[in-house]
Parts: sequence; C-alpha cells; structure tokens
Amino acid sequence: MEESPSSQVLFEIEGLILDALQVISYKWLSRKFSIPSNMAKRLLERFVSQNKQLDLEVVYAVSGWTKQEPQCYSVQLVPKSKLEDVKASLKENPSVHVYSVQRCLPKDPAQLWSADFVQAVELFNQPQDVNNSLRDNRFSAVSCTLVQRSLLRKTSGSTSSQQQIPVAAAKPISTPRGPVQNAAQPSHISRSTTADRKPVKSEIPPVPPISALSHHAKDVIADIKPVKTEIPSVQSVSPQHDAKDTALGKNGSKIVVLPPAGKRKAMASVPLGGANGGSSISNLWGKAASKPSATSHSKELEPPVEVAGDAEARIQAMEADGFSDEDVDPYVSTRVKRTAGRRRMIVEDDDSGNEGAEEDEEMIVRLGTPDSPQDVKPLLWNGHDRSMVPKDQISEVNAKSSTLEMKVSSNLVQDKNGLASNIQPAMKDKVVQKSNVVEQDVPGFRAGIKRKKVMKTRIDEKGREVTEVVWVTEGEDTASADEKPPLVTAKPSAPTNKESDTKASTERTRALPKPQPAPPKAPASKGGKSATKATGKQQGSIMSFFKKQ
Amino acid sequence: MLELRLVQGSLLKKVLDAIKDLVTDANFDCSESGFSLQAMDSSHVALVALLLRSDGFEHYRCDRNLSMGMNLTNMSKMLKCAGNDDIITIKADDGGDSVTFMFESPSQDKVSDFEMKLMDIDSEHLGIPETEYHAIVKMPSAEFARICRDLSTIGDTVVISVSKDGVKFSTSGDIGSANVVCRQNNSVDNKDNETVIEMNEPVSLTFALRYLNSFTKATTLSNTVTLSMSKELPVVVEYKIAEIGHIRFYLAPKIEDEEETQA
Repeated sequence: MEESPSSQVLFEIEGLILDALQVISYKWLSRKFSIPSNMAKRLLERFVSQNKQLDLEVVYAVSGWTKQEPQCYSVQLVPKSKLEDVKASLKENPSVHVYSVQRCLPKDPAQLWSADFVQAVELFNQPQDVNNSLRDNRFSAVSCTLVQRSLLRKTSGSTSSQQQIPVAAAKPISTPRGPVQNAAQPSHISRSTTADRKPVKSEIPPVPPISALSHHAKDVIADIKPVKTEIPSVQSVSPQHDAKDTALGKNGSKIVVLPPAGKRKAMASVPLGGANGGSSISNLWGKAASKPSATSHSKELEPPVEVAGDAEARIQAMEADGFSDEDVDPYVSTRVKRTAGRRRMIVEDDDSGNEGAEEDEEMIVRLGTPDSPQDVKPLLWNGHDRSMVPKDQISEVNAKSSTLEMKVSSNLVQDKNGLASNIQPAMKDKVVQKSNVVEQDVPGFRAGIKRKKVMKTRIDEKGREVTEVVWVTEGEDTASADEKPPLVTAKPSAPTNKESDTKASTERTRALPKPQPAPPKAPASKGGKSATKATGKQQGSIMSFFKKQ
Repeated sequence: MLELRLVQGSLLKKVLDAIKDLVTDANFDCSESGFSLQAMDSSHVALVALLLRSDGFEHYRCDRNLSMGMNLTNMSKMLKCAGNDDIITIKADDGGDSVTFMFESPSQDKVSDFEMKLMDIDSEHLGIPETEYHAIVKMPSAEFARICRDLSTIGDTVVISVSKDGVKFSTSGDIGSANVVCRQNNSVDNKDNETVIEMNEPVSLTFALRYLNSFTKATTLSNTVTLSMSKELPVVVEYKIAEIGHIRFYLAPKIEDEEETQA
C-alpha cells in the first residue's frame, strides 16, 4: 500500500477495529483525523472493500422514501445482512453510505454511538479559544451564518489531534445526510462558513479521486497553509442537497486540513501506530499498537457514571439486606465498646452482670431473659461513655446544661425513660431522690409507654436461629412528651437559675423521648417477625446436601 | 500465565456486588473452560457458584489450572475503580501471589492497573450433583427481588410453594402475614417479563428470607431469574450472565425440627 495519508488512516482504522475492537463511525473518523465527514464515509467504504477477508460488520445508513403508506422519509442504520431488505422497502434509489465499521455487531445499539459521544464531549470540553471541528462546524454539510471561522484561532481535533494526519480530502460523497442523522448529531451545530474562508491555492488540482489524492498529499503538506473546509451553504436536509453538495465538489472546492506546522514535523518523525511511548495499551497485550495519541493531552472524558437505576437498586438492596449492622440486637449494640480499634462486643450475663465474658471479634448474643430496661440502667451507666445518647442530644446537653441542676434534671428524665444516663457518680443519690418528685409532678409522663416481654426469633450471624425474650415498648408518643414541659417546670429545682433551668428541661424533655423507640424497633422489625412460625423449623446446612469433593 | 480480557467489565463488577456480602473470601478457579468460583457463606447455609465461560471473554489465556484466593471485599473495592464501560483484564502469573486487574476506558485513553495480593484459602469444594428438579420457575428477576424485599418486612422466612396455578410466596410475622402469588404468564412480546412454571409435582419449601434477599443483589445481571426446587433439596436461584455464564445460589431449606416432630 502506498505511503499516503489516507493509507495511513486506513492502517489506523484497521488497528482500531481489529485490536481495539472499536466501533468506527464516519463521524468519529471525521473528527479524529480532521477530515470531512464525506471523506470519512468514503474512507470507511474503501476500508471495507479492501478488507473483505476480515469479515467485518458494516452498519449502513440507508435513507429514502418508504414504499408503504403513509409515505415518509426514513433514515435507518442497518447491518450488512439486512441491507438488501431495507433497500427493498424503500422507493427507488435510496441513499446508502457506510455509517460505521466494527468487528462484530454490538449487542447494545448505543455502542455505535458511544465513541462519537465521548469524542464530542471531549471536543466541547476543550477551552473556548481552541477551535475544533465541532465549534466551527468544519466538516458538516450544513452551514450556519452565525459561525465565524478564524484561522488565527488555535485549531484542535480530538485527543489525537496533535498527531493529526494531514489528509487532502475532496469530493463529497454522493449520499445525502438524512434528517435523523443530523438530529442524532447535535454537535454539528450549524455555523457560518463565510468569514475567513481562504481560497485554495491554485496549484492544487481540482478534486482528484481519493486514490489520486494520496499522491498529492505530500505536495499539499509541503506548501499549503491550513485551509478550512468549504461547506456548502445548504440548510436543507432533503436528498436534494446532496446534489448541490456534489456539484460544489465538482466545481473544485477543495478541502485541505493541515495541522500546525510544528506538529507536522513531529508527525513525520513519529510513525503512526503508536510506537511511541505510553500510548499503546495493546502493547501490554503483545498486540499491535493501535492508538497514536496517548501522549497527547488526555482529559478524563467520561468519568464512570453510575446509572441512577443501579444506585437506587443498590440502596434498595441495602435496605433489604439482612446482613446489615442494624441486624444486631439493640440491647447488644448498645454495649459495643471500642477497644484498641477492634470491634468488641460485650454482653453481660443476666445473673453475673459482669463484663468478664467478652471475646474479641465475637458477637455474643444474650440468650437469657433481658432485664427490664429500668433494671438494665445501672449496667448501662458509664460516666464517660455517652454512646447511648444521640448526638444531637449530647450537644444539647453540652450547650445548655451548664448548671448542676440542669444536668440532674435531664438525667432524671433519661432515667425515667430507661435510657443510658450520663450522671456524674456524685449526683446519683440526688437523682434517685428527685425521681419520685418528677413522677408525681408529671403524672402522664409515662402514661403512653407500655412495655412487655416478647419472644423474638431471629437468625444470628452464624445462621443459628435465636429465640430470645426482649422488652418491647409500645404506644410511644413523642407528642405527648412535648406537651409536658409546663409540668416539668414545676418540679423542684435549685432556686439559683430557675429560668434557664426551665428552658433546658423543656428542651431536654422534647429531645429525650425520641431515642426511646430505638430499643423496641429492631426486635419488632427483625427478631420479632416470626416468633411463632419459625420455632418449628430449623435451618439446614448446605453441607448436608452436597458432598465434599 | 493467566490473561482474561472481558470487554463488558461492568459484568464483573456486578458479579462481585452480588456475592461479596454473602461470601468474604473465595477461590477463583481458572481453567481452560472458564473462570469459576464456588463458595459457601460463613454459616454454611448458602452456596454461590459462578461460571464465566472462556468463550465469553474477548481474550482468554489460561496455561494451567489456577486457583486464586481473593478477599471479595478487597476485590470489589478494586473493581469499583473501574468505569462501567471499561474493559477489564485479569492477569496473574502461575504460582504468583498477586493478581492484576487492568481497566481500559472505552476510548482507550485511560488505563489503570490494580494489583491485589492473593490469599491462601482452604475452601471446601462441594460436588453439586446434576438433579432433575421437581419444579422450575422462571420469572422476572426484579419481581423476585421485590417479593423477597417486601416479605422480609413482614417475616423472616418465606414458604415458596409451586403448584399448577403458580408460585406462591408466603410469610408471617408478628404484625401479620403475607402471600404473593405469581401466576404463569407467557407474554409473547417480552420474554423477560414472562413467568413460566415447569412442574412435575408440587413443591413447598421454607427458606430464610435474609439469604434470598442477598441473592437478589444479582438482579442487575439478568432480567430473569430461575428458581429450581425439589422436595427437601436446596433451592437453586440462577441468574444468567449475558451469554457468558451464570451465577447460581443454592440455599438449604428450613426443615422441621426433629425434636419438634418427635414431640
């Protein structure tokens, strides 16, 4: 094959298709090598015809008027196998051109488009002052008067643009661009072509066919300034425009795109095929390199985006997940201690009440009857550990309970709710004394809260079924607690700072009932689901069904 | 030398997401025929069998059989670094103590490789006999996931009963009970939405919902799920992985407590 730019492009295409297994569409090719899209289509066509033995899959864009009523102009992407069928369904002379070439037909049709999309995003993400083929609509057959083209602006292609292959392109193809195509190619924003168009130098012969072109390519590189594309000012997307298109081509409008001079040299010295440096992923594979462009600035194009649906599904799965930490019995979880970075779970035995029975990284599950929450209190109490108290509550305590009385009163309420207290040991007696008073003053305070022992069955981490008796609180009503504050204010408190004390107590009582539903919550939703049902069934082991090999 | 190149890298990500919560460490076995995994959960109640056939890979080279012990949590962390469209390549040397995951972005302009240390895992490989199942239910995977999720809010166990009419999922708990019946439904236009029941004899088995719920994390891999059941045998919950293989979950049923039955 002759060493010409177009043959180099063909070589590139071969590498991309065979090694990188990429879907090469004419749009992608056009932007990648800065060649007009018509030229790109022809190159693809030529590539396919030259490489019949490779058994490549070709997707054609077929457009024309349908034979069936109601008649409409249809533009379809069809694989090679269905080409004849589709052609037959259209009226005479449908337009056919190569849309993309790939090793095999993608399962997901979107893959045809994804490479284009990535490239378009990349081009649009380039700095504003960089002129690329999308910004100035260089290669589109549809023009727009608003687009200014400037030769002074930096031109740039896609990532590979620094190694653009100078390709002298000509002859627009004879196929029309259908409406659908244009719609699917939002990047081809119509822009003006009039501003800085330069006439092509006279020594360039008019519109040679592609094969001939390659002969001229070197000359062209040598003495032509970068010249921007001539694009016919045709807005129509009907098949007629293709006639004009062709006519223009025949009139000798010539399209030559050259990279900046500095780059040309580099290109000459760097053989295509990615022999230089880090470009070739495929080198790692012992395969022929296919990409010329890894040395160029590569932006992160398409950060892997999680599909929203996926994320949602995952969240739902998480919620439904029986393995989550919420699974842990609340009575157990309240006693998790952090010991030297290891998670250690300590569960007191009912009778002994000591913390001796602890094991590293082992969840010990309480099997006996739990204490009533009130009874549990002393065990839970820990002067330094506030893990039981919700964070907002702690901050509230820190912020507001500056006086001794406030602390005591807040702790009082906590005690009555059967929650962990953070009373200083010295105050303990005082608390006990006051607790009665509070109960009297706030008669309805605990009225809405009932507790009962309930048998709960659940499956522990080891897959064993555990039946346990837990306390379940019913009729929790935070609203009723909110109504209490006036009564709480009546309780005896130190005479010193009565107002602030009252305020703090009010705040406290509002905040405190909230954590209360926590203890019954987990047993009710997890352990208590099927106490009656599951007791008769035992989980079998998979080992009893399959033999070891 | 092992080299596996999977163009649809997202598949591997999904596979890991599906099994990593059930199994923490597992041996990946690579042979000429494909890439497989068999592992039990820590309580030995459920078993996962994964198979990715060699022909599903764009490039598959496995010079000799290789078993690679991996921590699935760590592997999943690494695979999370791969984009959904990335091409994933797994490479390992014979006798090496590490495996390399290579991610190539679709546009080939980003290549990352992650090396992960392997572990020695003593795993018990179970022989799973080919069995004729009494009832095979094929249904939309999303539907199955939905049912398991819903029922797990009511109870801990589910009774799956297959009869001629359809498949019934029932549970009961403190707050009440629930039954979901899916009838046979052959939709012509959409194979993915159909519920097909092949049954030789009625089967009714009880399972722990928490395991079924964790199986349904594989829902993203396939639009349909197949439940194969026989009396007093583990249920097989199978998700096909797009023409490359499958992931099968086996779950031992809950059986009548012997003491209970004697009494």
